[in-house]
Amino acid sequence: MPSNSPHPGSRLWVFVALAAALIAPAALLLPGQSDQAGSAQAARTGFDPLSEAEASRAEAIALADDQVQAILAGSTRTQVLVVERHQEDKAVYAAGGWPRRADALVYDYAQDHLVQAVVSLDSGQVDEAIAADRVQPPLTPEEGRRALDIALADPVTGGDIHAAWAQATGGAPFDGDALEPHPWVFRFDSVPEGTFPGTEDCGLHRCTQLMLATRDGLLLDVLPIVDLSAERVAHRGAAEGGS
Amino acid sequence: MKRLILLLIAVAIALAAAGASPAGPILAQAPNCSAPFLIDVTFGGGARWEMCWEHRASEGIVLYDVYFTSPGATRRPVFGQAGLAQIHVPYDDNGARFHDLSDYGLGNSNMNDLTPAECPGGTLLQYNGKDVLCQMVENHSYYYKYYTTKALAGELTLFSVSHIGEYNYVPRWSFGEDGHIGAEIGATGRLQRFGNNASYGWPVRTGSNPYAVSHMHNLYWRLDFDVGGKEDDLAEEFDLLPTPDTARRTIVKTELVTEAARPVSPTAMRFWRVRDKVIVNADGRAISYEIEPVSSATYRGPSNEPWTQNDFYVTIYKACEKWVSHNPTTGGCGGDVTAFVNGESVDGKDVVVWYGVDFHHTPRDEDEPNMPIDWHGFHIKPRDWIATSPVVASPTAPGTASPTSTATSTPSPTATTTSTATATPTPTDTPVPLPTACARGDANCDGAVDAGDLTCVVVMIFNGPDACPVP
Repeated sequence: MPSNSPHPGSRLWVFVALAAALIAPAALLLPGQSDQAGSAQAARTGFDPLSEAEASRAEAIALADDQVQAILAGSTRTQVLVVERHQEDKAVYAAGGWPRRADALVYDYAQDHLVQAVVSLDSGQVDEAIAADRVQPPLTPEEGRRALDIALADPVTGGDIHAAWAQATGGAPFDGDALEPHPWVFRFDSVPEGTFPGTEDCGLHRCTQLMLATRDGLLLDVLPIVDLSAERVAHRGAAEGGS
Repeated sequence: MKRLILLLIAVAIALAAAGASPAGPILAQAPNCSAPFLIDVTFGGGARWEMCWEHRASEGIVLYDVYFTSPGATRRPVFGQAGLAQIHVPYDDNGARFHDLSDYGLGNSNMNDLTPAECPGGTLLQYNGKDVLCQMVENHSYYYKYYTTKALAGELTLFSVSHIGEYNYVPRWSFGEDGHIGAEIGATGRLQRFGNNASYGWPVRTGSNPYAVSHMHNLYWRLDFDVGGKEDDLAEEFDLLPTPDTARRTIVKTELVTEAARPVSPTAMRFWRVRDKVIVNADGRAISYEIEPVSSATYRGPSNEPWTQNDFYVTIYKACEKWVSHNPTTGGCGGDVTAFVNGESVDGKDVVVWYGVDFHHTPRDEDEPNMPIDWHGFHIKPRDWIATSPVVASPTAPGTASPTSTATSTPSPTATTTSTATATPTPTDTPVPLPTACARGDANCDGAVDAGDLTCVVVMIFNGPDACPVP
């Protein structure tokens, strides 16, 4: 062991130990170095986003979980909105390593709950499952398409869309499949009170303000607000300045 | 073996003791991610930026564990996390008031798959098979110049593209060799609302609804500062106030010791900084990073948009406080940044800064059909991070710097995200004296206590810290 009066042998040991301690980490960080462990196929760690395999597995674990199913209470009107890495508290990050965990966000349109399941990919279990109201993540492409179908089925808004299509395309035959929905979540409190009467439930309900363009980039001058929970048009979206 | 273990313990104790010095930790934690999500760039002049990146459904690209090493200085953390916190787009006619980040999302199917042509000379970084982030290392401009004494600074840039409605946003970060950080968003794509009221827009079409409706883009970033480490930070506000005759200006500092919401003030030339309360540079001055406002507009919205009443917010770190508006209220978290500001002490704590940049877009004929890109953002730069401007031993010559890797749409599985800017010295460079500020134990004064300083460190271990004085 090193003493206060080191002899040449212990100095050598110190030198070797220091060299190992100081040089090894530096070598690991040399810029430009190729690292097999860093390949796209390697196991994800730390702040890495979920791989597709991790996301699929997290979704399956969440949907099979008893707590999640208890919250959903047999609802058939549900959709998985987002599956991504769970952002841990910094106190967890400070430890230098943390388990791979995912947030699986599932919306229940019947009860208007967002179910957030925190899934441990290490244990294969759901660590926590809670239901929140008035939390509305971005809409999925499927939800955008469903909102467009609801809007087209509405006599007034469907007429607006057909008219806007005719104006944008110069009178081409209507083709709903050629429409590209651009859906924003719409909440009643996003606008000053009274701006869009009939949208008071939006926020508690899952609603969208729906922009439409043709696949070749022609914008339709309509912006209806569709309530996906109630499956109806909440407002045809005529604005003061135009559409 | 027992002797070796004890020796290693002694080494660890010695290094820990050195790390507790006012100069800060010598061996800092590395960014915590695997190689495909690690960005590690060392410039020819010696400066180095390291960070992790992640794709998120709403925020798009988020950065973690951002470290900067200035030549001749200690490697230190700047941010624990940095990313967008909202893009708020209220139209002048009140026909739409979009919250693009929370309500549309910059990630997933809205994030573009970039092509090599969009990232010339750079490296495309993949998220689950999609090229979502372009990393470039480019020449920027002068670092400094004084007659023939000069240095040129390189810059690391990172950008992604998100398709939001008819818009395309290009969030871009830049990290300079001199330590500066740029946070910007390029707005391009196509105009997305038209009307027939001249009061609210500009005519860009013929026929019905010829007016493109004017609108704001209120851009917000969340900056989780970890200046030198996650604790012990403090935000300060500085105003340059004129004397009554306006002939002089005095600097007035306000320490923001509790959570605060503050407006920009161009007339007071207001700026803010986040400093460490413990770590100082070699001149004894607190290391810090400052927010330098750059804005052409200041937006104040209706009462349902309280977050628009100020531009700079400082709060204590909380994991659930993610976005400036439409923040998820799961678990009782506040719904917008004004709810985060609730009187808690941020004096010597883990400080989070929320900063907004507003710009008004009055469309023009040139915006139809495809809008030329328009950039807006702000600057973050070191203040007293180092005691003197650093020696840049090998200035990068214009046009010669290039990353070691080039853009490719299909990186091989072994591709690394690390690149290094090369440098070419020029014969007219005037030697600059070495800086006098070097950490204890940094015998060769290269900014780190490393293998090159072994002899000095060993002497310190056996004969005390004064045995190897600061150079």
